Amino acid sequence: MRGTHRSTGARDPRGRRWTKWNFNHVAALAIAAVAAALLVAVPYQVAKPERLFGRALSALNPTLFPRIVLGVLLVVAILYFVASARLHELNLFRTVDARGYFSVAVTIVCLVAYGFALPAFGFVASGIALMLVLTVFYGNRNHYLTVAVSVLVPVAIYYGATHLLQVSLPEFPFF
Amino acid sequence: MWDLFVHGAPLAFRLDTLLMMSVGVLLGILVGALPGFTTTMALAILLPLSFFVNPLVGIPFLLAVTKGGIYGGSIPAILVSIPGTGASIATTFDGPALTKKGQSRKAMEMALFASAFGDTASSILTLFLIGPIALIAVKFGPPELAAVILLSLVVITASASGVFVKGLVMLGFGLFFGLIGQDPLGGASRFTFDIFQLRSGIPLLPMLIGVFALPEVFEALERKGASFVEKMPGREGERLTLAEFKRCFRTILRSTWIGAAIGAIPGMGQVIAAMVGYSAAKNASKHPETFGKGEIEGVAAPEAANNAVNAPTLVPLLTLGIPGDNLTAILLGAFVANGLRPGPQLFQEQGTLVFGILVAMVVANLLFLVIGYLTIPIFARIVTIRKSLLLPLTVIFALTGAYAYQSNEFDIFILIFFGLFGYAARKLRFDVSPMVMGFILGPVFEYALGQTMSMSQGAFLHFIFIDRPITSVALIATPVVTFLLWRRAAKLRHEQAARSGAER
Repeated sequence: MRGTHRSTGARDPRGRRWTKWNFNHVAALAIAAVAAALLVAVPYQVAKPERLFGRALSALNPTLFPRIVLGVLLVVAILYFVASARLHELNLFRTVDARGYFSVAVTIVCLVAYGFALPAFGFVASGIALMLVLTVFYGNRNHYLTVAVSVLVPVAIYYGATHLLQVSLPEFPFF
Repeated sequence: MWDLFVHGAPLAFRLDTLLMMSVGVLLGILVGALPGFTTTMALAILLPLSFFVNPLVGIPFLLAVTKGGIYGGSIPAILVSIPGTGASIATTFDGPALTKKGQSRKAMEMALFASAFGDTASSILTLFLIGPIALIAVKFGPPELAAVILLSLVVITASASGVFVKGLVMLGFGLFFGLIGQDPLGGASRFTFDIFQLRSGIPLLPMLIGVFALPEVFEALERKGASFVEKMPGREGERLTLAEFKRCFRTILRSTWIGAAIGAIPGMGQVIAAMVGYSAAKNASKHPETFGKGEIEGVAAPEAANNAVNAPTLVPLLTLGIPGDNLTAILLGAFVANGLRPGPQLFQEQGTLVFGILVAMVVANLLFLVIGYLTIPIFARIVTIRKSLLLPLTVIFALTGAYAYQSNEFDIFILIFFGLFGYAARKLRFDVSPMVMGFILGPVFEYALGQTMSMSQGAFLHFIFIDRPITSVALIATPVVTFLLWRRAAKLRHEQAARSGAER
């Protein structure tokens, strides 16, 4: 995966030239921006320490450790930016084709939909729907197997969790 | 300690413990044998099963998954030159060459016996050494704990794969995620962004499942093909003979020591142990030119070393509460979910239970040997299982595990967030291990630091450098050890890159 510098004319595995300005620079700048924004937000995002009879309850102010962590993250992001010019790595997002991105995106949408469906429709109904959609989308063409797995797995997990492990899972409409 | 051992050992032989360990070994080998799925993912997915059963059943179950998973990774490494887990990368140097010679069965048996021996020997060693180490650890106060955590965090980051500065970035993110919720000393609310569900912080288990399981699903979706492996090699060939095992015994013994020593150091892990074990075997061999061309010792060495890592990684976890790698970070989650807090006090409060778990770890190796031997032909065919069935199953188990921990729908979204975070990190070549360690150890470090500041009564530097010698030694050792480990890891990575480049 490693390559050489632009001046040598070397190319990455997909035929693109290695350039001085690379994804590591962008990532470093983004991380530095996030760290700086969070550092500025410390007074607004950290509650005032509790005091008892005018004295702080803790020897460590609740803003101190966040300031240290975020300050160090900012410095490290700057060091990362400086080091980026020497890092000849391939951005692996570039190795994913459109079909791969589509598959991942559909899966994420299904997961988010499941998160909203779970309290409304219960574990078994949401689970069956998710399994059916994903099994078909991932390319299983044996419909009997698809239905069998999609129904049996959520039902088995539900009964295993609620009866054997005594775990509560959302119920509706039949389970 | 002897009393604890005597009372704890029989607990490992409960029928439910033995049964669940057998299931754990099977599941571990199954997932390990699937190329693209790691032991870490298997452990993350199966972690919730341990919450709702007795710790003497749940934790040995997870340990059995680990043992089975690391061995299982060698099966596709030998058969189709695809390491099932990172730990079996070195097994691809000689395993596939043996398969081409029609000796895949021999290679898989050697991997099994070497793994079982390495794991058992290092487990017994751990069993005898952990008690005295715990007696030392119990004398640690907050300053020593804070210094050792700091040392561990930097060592883990230096040993992580990839570039050191990127590891530090991930460590920073992990520490930041650990800040979210309430501060561990005064309970002040921090970085909740007015989201009510974040007031108690980011839950550990949905985070772990998200960061380790979902990225593997996403990456499997990117790859074309209905199965991970489309075509199986032909005949399995001859079996391993006793003479061949005896010939490799010195190598297995050496690798066991290497694995055990590496396992005790936080952050080093199975991959490095396997590489070092392989290199040591090659260097010590009278015929090093046969390595890489189907040498049976080339399978024995990495497999003994990577499994020998398992038990010693529990030493820093159980005695100091410091997980040395991703697997022990997940095990820490199991301990916490069962109401056990690993650390210096664990042996005093739950010593019998801890020794029960440690003895179960040894027993799990015997189960692993028997089950592994009987199931070699079955798992050799698992590598061709269809992705369209396997991936939805993985997803539903991940979602159920994330939800079941707290019965909270919000945890599903935490899982998705960390799944995307882990996926982006992989694509941009960040190792998430420092992030996970920072998240787990950050609040403990802050708490110990706050207590140290209270104890110092204003003379902080004098207190830690003069009054607390162990603390000062750990603080001085931090940059030195980090540099040495970083050099060592960088050298190994270069060797690995050079080897894979040469093979291409």
